[in-house]
Amino acid sequence: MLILTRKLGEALLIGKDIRVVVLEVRGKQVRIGIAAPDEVVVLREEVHQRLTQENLQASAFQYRDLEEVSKSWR
Amino acid sequence: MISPVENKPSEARSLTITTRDLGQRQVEREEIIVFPVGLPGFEDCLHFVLLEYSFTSPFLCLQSVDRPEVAFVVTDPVHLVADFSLKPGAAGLKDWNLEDPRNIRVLVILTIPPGRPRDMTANLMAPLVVNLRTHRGFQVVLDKPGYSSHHQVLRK
Repeated sequence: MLILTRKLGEALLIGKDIRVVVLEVRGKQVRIGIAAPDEVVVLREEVHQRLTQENLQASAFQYRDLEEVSKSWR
Repeated sequence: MISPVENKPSEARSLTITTRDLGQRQVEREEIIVFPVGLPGFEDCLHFVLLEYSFTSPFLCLQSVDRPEVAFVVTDPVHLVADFSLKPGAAGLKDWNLEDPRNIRVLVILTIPPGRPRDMTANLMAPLVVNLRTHRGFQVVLDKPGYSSHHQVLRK
């Protein structure tokens, strides 16, 4: 992993069009600003992991369960 | 003159896909929704189609074209909450503020725990947003209190 030291207000450039800037440092928390093109998805890592788990669970449905639960709408 | 390229099966207007639960289906090329970055956990699934189930329900099948074994049950969130709204500026949505709202279709993914269909939940926190004009879709994350990733669909 590349490790760089930055001061408050300093930024990093990733590729041509992603800019990451350190906005605030307070105790153990760091506020980071990210400017990236719309098609670049920026997510907190734990949110992405949760979303991955939820999508995997959702894809594991059984068709007969879906048929069963659909009776509620008939 | 028709070039050989246009005769290739991959260029045909419609194609036959193998689905997870609905056998083989004929779909039009323009029905394919491109998810440029896939879905979290399914980054290799870039092409999907929305199919109807044979039984009456508000549910649709979001079937992967790339991997026949991958399908999701989805529904329009209006069936679940009264005034489901997307937060402007949510990740992946910025450029869509310019889009005619009639061209935007929002769907949420349902999770049905195997053997416990009445415990079905909906992921309101991370809806799918599809641009019907460009046939592109994204799963976006709404940072909005009250929109749970495990919204209970049926009353106990």
